[in-house]
Amino acid sequence: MRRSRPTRRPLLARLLVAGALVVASGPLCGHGVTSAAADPRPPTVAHTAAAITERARLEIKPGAHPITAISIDNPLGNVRIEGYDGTALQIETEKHAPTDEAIDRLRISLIPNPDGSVRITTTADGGPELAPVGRGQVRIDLVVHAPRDARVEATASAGTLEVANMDAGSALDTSSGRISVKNVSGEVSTSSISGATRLESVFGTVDAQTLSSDLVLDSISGQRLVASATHGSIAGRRVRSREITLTTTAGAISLEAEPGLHGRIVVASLAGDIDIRVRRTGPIVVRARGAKVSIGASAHAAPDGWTQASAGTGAAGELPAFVELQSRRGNVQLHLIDPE
Amino acid sequence: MKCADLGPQLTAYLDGELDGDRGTAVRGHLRTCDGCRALASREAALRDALRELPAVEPPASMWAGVQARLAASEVAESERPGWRRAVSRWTSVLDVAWLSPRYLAGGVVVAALTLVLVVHARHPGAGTRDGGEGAQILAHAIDLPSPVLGASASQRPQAPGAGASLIDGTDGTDGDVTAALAAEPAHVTATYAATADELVELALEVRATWSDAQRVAYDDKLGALRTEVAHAVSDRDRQRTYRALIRFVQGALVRDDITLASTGRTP
Repeated sequence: MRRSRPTRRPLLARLLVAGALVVASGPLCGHGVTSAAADPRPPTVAHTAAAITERARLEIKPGAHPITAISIDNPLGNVRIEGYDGTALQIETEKHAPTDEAIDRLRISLIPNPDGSVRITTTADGGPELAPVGRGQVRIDLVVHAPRDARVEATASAGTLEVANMDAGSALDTSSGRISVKNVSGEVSTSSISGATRLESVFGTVDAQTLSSDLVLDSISGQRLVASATHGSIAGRRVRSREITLTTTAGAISLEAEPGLHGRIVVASLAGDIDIRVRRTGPIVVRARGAKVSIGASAHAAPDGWTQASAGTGAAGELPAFVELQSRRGNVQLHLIDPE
Repeated sequence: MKCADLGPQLTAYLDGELDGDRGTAVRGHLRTCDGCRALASREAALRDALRELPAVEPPASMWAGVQARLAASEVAESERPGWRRAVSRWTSVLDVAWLSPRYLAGGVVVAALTLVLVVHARHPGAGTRDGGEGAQILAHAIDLPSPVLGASASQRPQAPGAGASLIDGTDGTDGDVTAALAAEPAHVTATYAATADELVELALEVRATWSDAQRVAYDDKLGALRTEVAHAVSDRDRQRTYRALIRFVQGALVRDDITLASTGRTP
């Protein structure tokens, strides 16, 4: 074992790192909207045999306007946003790099705007005079404690995006990073190329899209749920959205849903199997088609090639819930669960 | 190149260690072979997943032991004569256990030759430089403390990052993190574009079953979205439009009712 570097960074370097965060929030103070109060302690720096870790903490207190929107763009690592009952924005940063020089290249910009929105971005300084450092050798992780009623927009690359306990929805986008949304109200939209996506306890309109990862939906309710996966599967349970549209190209779709009155469920796939369990709360009309269709004993083949079924009777003038299931090459199965 | 030839070279390719013709051959094969491209994508995804695993911190007791041994070795080092410390530094740099003061003269020659080879391997252009530059590089290499030589292994190109293209050779494995970050949006856009093309091609298979009105509606909407992609001002806008295009084509592909295809936008 060789000792590769001193155990502490120079004081000047540590103060510069702390200063970078504070300077970034400078314009806000001039507008009197929000005051930025940096933690008086300098960032803590820990050296290990493999890498250097630098942690810092910053708090943004609201000025004339509350913090209403948070936009985060972190291509270098994970982002976790947790709602809480306070009004200030608390940001914990953690940088990892193999050398002191490399860690000094990692930048976190904080731009509070007079309208109450805050933007946080990360990047890595470049330049011919700097020693090259690989993409996988550095990272910045962010943990943000935000007022619950602020709307969140966040993007990441291979890092994880997690949002929890927020009340104004979120818009999340990753390349291969995992997306997790839990206990969030409001409009939620997610998109990912290959990051597994999980939405749990979401109360609001949901729009989720992935290309080649699986999508898990648990305890979703709201006006509309639109979810699609190209090469991945979709699994939903305890879904009570009024309008549900699930689409895959190759992946299977499973859903346990309870459509409301006049609710609509459309599930379609090119080659994936479809397995749906619907808890009926009123009259319901079902039509389905696929390589092999099983939608209950009352099903009958219609002239247009669909298999149709219906169950329950409602009050006069009451429109039934509508379920449409189709897979061009896969099997379609529906289990209707009657009300107790 | 055949599929059987790709296997042994895939790991090196993903590590960014194939250059010149060998890298070009692999990229060319991946462009044309769906099976190998899928294999490469799975391999890259596995590497991404492994990188996502949490780092395992060694127990504090282990680090304490390492520090104790370091302290002991430093005390011993301070008590040794200067000439023996110099010899030890050479043996440390070269990692040659048998080198001892008795073989100092021969060892110096071996060490110098080894370092020339190391410098040549790490600076392929060094051989074209004049003698003065070459001598400076050699002198610099000899002065390097051993940890720096050891650390250079960690500066090898990394495996492709998320969303990186496996076939265009600009997957972030070359060069520095700043360049990789700059190139990433274009890679992500290319991935969306490839998926959109794949779905449009699949939709051709079911197009024959559509009515004329459905075909016209599909073509109009697809054309409008393609125009929007072409006029997007940033990669992020382009990705957003591609996502809408993918949604639309996927809806048309799996459902007959073109007009009902959702084009809901994601961020």
